[in-house]
Amino acid sequence: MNSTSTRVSLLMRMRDSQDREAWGEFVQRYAPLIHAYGRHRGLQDADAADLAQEVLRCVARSAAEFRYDPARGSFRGWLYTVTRNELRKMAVRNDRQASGTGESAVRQILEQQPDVATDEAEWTREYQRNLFHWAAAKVRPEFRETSWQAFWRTAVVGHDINAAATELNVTVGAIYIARSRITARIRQEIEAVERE
Amino acid sequence: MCPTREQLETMLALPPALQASLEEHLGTCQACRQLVDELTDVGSLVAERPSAEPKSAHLQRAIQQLLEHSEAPATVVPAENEAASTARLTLLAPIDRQGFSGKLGMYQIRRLIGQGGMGIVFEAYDPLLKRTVAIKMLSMLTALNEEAKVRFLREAQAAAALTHENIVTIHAVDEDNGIPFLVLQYVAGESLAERLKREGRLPLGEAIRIGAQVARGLAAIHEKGLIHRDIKPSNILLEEMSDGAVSGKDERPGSGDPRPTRAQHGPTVKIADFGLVKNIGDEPLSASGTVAGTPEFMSPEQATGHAVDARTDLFSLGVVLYAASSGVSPFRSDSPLLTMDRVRETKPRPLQEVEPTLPDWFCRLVHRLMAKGPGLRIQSARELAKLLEQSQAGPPIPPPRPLMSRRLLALTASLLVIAGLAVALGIYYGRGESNGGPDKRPEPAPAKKPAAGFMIAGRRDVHQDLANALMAASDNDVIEVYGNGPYRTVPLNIAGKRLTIRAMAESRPVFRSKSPGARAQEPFLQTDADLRLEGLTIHWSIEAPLGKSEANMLARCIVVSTGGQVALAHCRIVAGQMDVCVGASTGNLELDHCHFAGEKAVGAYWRPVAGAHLTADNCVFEGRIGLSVATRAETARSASASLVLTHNTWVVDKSIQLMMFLGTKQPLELTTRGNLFDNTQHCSLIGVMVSKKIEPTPDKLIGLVRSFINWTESGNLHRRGAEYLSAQRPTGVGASAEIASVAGWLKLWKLPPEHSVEGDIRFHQRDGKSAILPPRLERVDNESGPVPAKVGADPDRVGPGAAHHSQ
Repeated sequence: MNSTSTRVSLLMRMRDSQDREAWGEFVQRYAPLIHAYGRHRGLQDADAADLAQEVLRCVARSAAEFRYDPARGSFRGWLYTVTRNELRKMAVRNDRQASGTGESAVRQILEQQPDVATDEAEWTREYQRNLFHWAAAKVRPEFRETSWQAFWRTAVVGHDINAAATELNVTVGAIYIARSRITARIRQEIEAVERE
Repeated sequence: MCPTREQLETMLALPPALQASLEEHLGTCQACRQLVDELTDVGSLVAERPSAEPKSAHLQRAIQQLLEHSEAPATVVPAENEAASTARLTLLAPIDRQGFSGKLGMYQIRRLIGQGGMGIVFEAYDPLLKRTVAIKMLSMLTALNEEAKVRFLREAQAAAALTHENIVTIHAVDEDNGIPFLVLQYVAGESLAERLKREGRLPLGEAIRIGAQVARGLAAIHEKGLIHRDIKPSNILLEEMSDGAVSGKDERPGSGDPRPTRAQHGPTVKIADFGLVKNIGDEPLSASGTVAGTPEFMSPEQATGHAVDARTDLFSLGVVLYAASSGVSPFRSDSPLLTMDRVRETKPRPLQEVEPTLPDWFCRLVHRLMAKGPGLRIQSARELAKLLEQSQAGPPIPPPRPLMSRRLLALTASLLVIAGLAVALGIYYGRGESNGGPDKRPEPAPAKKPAAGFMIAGRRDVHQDLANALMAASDNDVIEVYGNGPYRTVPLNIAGKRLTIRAMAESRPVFRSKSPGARAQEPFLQTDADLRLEGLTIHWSIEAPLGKSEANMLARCIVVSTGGQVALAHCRIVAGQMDVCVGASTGNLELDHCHFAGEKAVGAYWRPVAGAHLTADNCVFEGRIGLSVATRAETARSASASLVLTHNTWVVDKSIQLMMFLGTKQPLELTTRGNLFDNTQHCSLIGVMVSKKIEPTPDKLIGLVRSFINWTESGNLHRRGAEYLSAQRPTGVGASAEIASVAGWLKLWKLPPEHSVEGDIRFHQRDGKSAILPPRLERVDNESGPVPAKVGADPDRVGPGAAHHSQ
C-alpha cells in the first residue's frame, strides 16, 4: 500500500534542517537500538556507541536527500542497511589501524557473519524491544507511580497480581485497569511511530 | 451481572471517576479479568521485549554528542510543561466512588449515548436549568494526549462562537478533576448514519432537505472562519419533532420523489462534533501531517495531508449526499488506506448509474461537489444551500385531490424541481440534453437572462464584452457568459480579483482575438489572483519572444495566474505555435475535462510553490509538450509538490517529451492512473532539462530523475516502443535512458509489471496529418490487446465532449 498521507513524518521534519526537535527525538529513539544491535553482534560498549553515532550522522547527512518510500521497504529495513554498512566501514577502518598489530576485533565480528535472515530477525527484535522501552519511558510521566508499578511489575517483570496488589496497597481491579490503560497508551505511541 | 465485551471496552476507556464499579467488579470476577486481559493483550506488547540493558555511559555520551553536534538551540527535547503534567497526573487520581452513572461536575449522568474515536457522549441532566443535556468528554486515553486535548478545547472555543439552527449548540465548557468536557444541546432523534443503516437510502426530497440544512449550517461555520473537517452521516443529527413526526416514515426509498412539500415538516438537521474543527490560519495541529477525519468522507486534499479550506467540507457533503441518495458510499473499501487512495485518485461511479431514478441535475450537483480539485467544486456552502433550497421551493402543491394519486403528485413535483434547478445550476457540461419536463416552469430569478453577453451573478447589468464585465466585477464574483459568440476581445488583465467565468446553460461561448489573423501581444487572460473558467473555448495565439525563462514562459501562456490558483473545467484552448494553453506560477492548477491543443504548443505550464498540487482529470493534451513543470531552485528540498494525473490522453505530436521538467531541486510526487500515453519513438514520456556542463549518460539520467521525482502509476496504456526518459540540454537533445518496455519502466519505480500495459494505439478519427484532434475522439484501439479499464481514451472519458459539439 502506498499512502502519502501516513508517510515519514519524523524524517520529513528532519529534512527541514531547522527542525532540531525532530532530530533530538530521532536520536533518542534510535541510538539505543543501534547500540543494542552492535552489542548483540559482539561489539564493545564503546564501539557500539561509536557505531550508533556514525549511523545517525550518516542518516543526518542523507536525510535531506532521503526519500523514504514505503513501497521500497520499511524505514526499519533502511536503517538496518545503513547500520550494516557502517559496521563494515568500521571494520575496514579498524583493520587499517590494526594492521601490523595483527588482530582486529571488529574484523573478527564481521567475519563471524550470521546469515542475513537471522541477523535481520535479530535487528527486528531489537527494534521492537527498543521501541517498547522508548514508548514506555515517554508515557511514564503521565501516570501515577503506583499505577506504573502495577503495570510494570505484573505485565513486564511478571509478578503475581495478587501479590502486587498487596505490595502496592491497591485493589486487584485497579491493577487490571492500570495495565489496560498503560498498555493501550504505550501501544498508541508505538503505533504512531510505526505509522510513520 | 457482567458487562458485554463492548461495554467492557468502553468502560476501560472511561475516566477513573466513572470506573469505581468496574474496579470493584474486577476484584471478584474471574471471567471479566480474563476478558480485560484479552482486550488489553499485554502479552503481544511485552513479549520479546525484556527489560533494557542498564544504561550505557558510552551510549549516553554518543547521544549527547549527536545532539550537541547540531547547531540547534538547547531545547532539543522539549521540557515537560509543568502545568500540563500535573493536570495529567490528577487524571489518574482515585476519585470518589460514584460508579458508572454518577455525576460529572454538577451534571447527573444518565446513560452513555455513544463513543467515537476521541470521546464519549453521555446523556445527562442539568439540575440548575432542569433540562437534559449531552456531555461530551475525551476518553481517558485521548485526554492524555496533549494534541487531542488541544483539539478538544478548540472544539469548545469554535462551537461556543456559533449559534445556528443547524448546528448543535454548546451550553458550557466545564471540567471535572482535570478532564475538560462540553455541555451540549441535547438533540433527541437519530443521526443520519443510523437512519441510513435502517433505511438503506433516503427519498430524494429528504436527501435534498438534509443537504440544504447541512449546507446552511456549514455556511455559518465557514463564515466564522472555521472548517468542520469531519462532515459525515454520524455527525449529522436529525432532531425529532416534539409531535413525533420524524422524517416521513411512510416514505419509501426508490421512488426518487423530491417531495418538496415535506420541506417544512421534516426533522431539523444539526451538525455535530466539532472535534476536528480548526481555525483557518491556525498552525496545523500536527506538524507530522497526521490525517484527521473519516477516510470515507474525506476530501482528496485532506487524504493527501494538504492544507484544506472550507471547500473540503463541501466535498464531504457531496459524499454524504451520494451515499444518502443511493445507499452506496462511493469510496468505501476494506481498508482505510485503500479508501484514502480511492478518495485521492478514483472517480466515483456515476451516481445516476448507481441509482437511475435520480434526476440528472442532482447527480451532476453531487459529482460537482466531489470534484478532486477544490477549485472545481461549488465554491461556497451558501451557494450550495441556495441551489438546494431553490429545488425545494417549487410552487406549493395543492392538497391532494381524490383523483390524483400520491405518486402522480410526487412526479409533478419532481419535474418542477428539475426544471427549476437545471436553470439555477447553469448546466453547461455533461451530455447537454434538456432536463426539463413538460411542465418547465418559468425562470424564477428576477434578473432577465440575455441571449448573449455577460452578467455578474446577482446583478442586473448585461455587458456586451468580457472586458467590461471584468472591470465591473468585484473580488469573488462569478461572471456568467450567455450565448456562443464568438466573442472577439482584446487581451485581458484582471489584477487583484478572484473571479469565476462561467458559461451558462445551453451556452458554448468561443473567444477569439479582436484582430483576426494577427497574433496578440499578450495572454488572453492574465491575473495575479485565483481564477476559474468553466465551459469556455478559447482560440488565441501570442506574439512574444521565445525562451524557457520563467518570464518567457508566462508571457506565452494564454490563460495564466502569476499569484493564485487556476481551475479550468470543460474548457478547450487552441493555441498558436509555441504557445502555452494554461499556466500557473504559484498556486494549484486544477484541470478537469479540458482539451489543450495547438501545433508545437504546450498544454500546461506549472511552477509550484511548496505543497502546491496539480490535478488533471480526463483532459486531452496535444501539441509539442503536454505538461511543463518548472521546479523552483529556491525552494527547500523538503518542500515537495504533487501531481495527480488521471484518465488523460496525451497525444503530443512531433514532440520530444510528454512531460518536461525544468530544474531539479524540488521533490515531485507524481501519481498517474488510467492515462493514455501516446508518445512516439522520438518522444519520451518524461524529459528533464540538464545544464550544458552535464554529459548525461543513461545511468546518470535515471539517477537524476529518481532524485526528485517519485512516480507511481497504474492502469496506464503506453505506446509500444516508446521512450520513457530523456535529458535535454539547452543546446539540443542529450540522451535517453534505455528502457525497452513498460515492464522496464515500472521496474525502475519498483512497481509490479501488471500495473500498466503497452500496446499499439490507434485513434480512428485522427488523420495523421493534423496535430489537432477533432473535438471529440470516437475510439481508441490497442491493436495488441485490450485497453485497460478506464484508460484515458475510453470514448466517454476523452475530451471535453458535448460541451464542444457546437463548434
